[in-house]
Amino acid sequence: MARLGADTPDTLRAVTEVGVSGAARHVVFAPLGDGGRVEVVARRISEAIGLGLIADGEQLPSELELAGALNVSTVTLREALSLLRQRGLVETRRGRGGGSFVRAPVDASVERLRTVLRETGVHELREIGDHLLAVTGTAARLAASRASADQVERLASLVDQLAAADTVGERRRADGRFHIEIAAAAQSTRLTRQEIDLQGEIGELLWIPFGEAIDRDERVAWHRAVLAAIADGDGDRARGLTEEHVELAISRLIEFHLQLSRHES
Amino acid sequence: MTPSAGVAATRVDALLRDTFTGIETLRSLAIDVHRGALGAGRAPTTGDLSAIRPTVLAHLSAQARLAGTGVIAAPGVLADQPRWLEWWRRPPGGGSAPLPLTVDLDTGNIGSYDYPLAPWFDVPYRTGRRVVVGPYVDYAGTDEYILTFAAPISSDAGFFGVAAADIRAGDVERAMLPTLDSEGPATALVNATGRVLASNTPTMIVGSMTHSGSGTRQELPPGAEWADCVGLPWFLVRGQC
Repeated sequence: MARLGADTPDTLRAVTEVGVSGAARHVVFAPLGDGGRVEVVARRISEAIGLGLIADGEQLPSELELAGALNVSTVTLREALSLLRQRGLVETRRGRGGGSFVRAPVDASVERLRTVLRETGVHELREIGDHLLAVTGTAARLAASRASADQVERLASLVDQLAAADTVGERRRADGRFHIEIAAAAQSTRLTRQEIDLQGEIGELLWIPFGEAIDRDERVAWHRAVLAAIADGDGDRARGLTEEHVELAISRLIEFHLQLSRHES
Repeated sequence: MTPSAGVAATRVDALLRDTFTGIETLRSLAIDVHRGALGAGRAPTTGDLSAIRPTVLAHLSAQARLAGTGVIAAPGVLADQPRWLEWWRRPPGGGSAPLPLTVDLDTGNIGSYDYPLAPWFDVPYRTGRRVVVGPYVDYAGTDEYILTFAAPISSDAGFFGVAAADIRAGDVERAMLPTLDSEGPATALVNATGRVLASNTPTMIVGSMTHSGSGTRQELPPGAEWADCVGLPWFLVRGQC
């Protein structure tokens, strides 16, 4: 999947061409490498809105310009904008002075989370990630040999909860609970306590409304794979998969942090 | 059954009997609280339920093995709190006086104590049967590695919650070790799901799962009075050494 990309000369040119100012947004509107699926485009724009990189009320570049900057067809872009309209993030006005405008009324809690993420340095995020790797990876390995059938069932129901979670709060809770229950299934009070602390510390940042560092469906698929490894009693696979998804989430969070830092400067 | 397995069965039976006797007392007190309030035409409150507190504290001081005991109200049963535990515990390490268990009951929080989902609550609620659960990590609750023994509190007034008691896994282990040693080397006491409760060997440690292939497995048949109790029988597993 195309991710918020590196700061290349191409992306800078794309920004200049569409006339969007702001140090951070050149990353947001960098061309999408894979030809651009609708979800990817929608996700990138909604992340930028969620992180506050595009402010409430701000006008997006014209469809043609935006499609060109992102290197997707106007059809794809229109579908993406339509998704964003459905989610209430974008409003399209017709006629003179019309266009697509960002609608992102920000509540205090989201503003607080952005501030926390901006002020938490890359080193600190990496430290949290390292700690998560140690705790979550080991818990997954141990759970593969110690989880009982009803614990596996409980974990499966938490994945279903995540798959069905509509609000970001529900997603954060179902995702966090999944990791905590794995540590409990590992029969370790110490790992469980640490997992609770870590989820409390990182969970809100991973699931900032519309600036989610985690894609729900991707996360669900990953959880199912981890759970299958645990049910198979394959500790090495459970650990490996868990480590991969911790690393991915942390690297996205670092990317978001960097964007917020650039935006501020 | 070998005579010594009979000793193990007797010890397990005594553990169950001691624990559930106290639970039964709390259960009937809670039913009185429930009926009393409904009889007065109102829902019971946390204040009403605190009438059981002297008995809870008496149980904790009389039975050194208990880590905690009390009554957990079903969501929505009490008038003044959506969820509630009248639960007291002996702090780990001992020495100090019993403390009330304070937990986060706000279901919006990641570390909240979502007890209606816990097997020790859910099984009595759904089946009306008693249950023995564990050892398990009681996260967001006591945060300890424990066994929980629980019974439903049901009467003509309806379902009120459960009466329960906790014993720390470490205390079960200490209590059972002499019996396990008398069984010979590499012997483990295992719960109904195959999880080791206590053992005298590092090859089968507490919390690990034993599988049907690992050593010989002997049921500790519970007496007829435990027929309704979910989570039994326990087993003795003798490994190869």
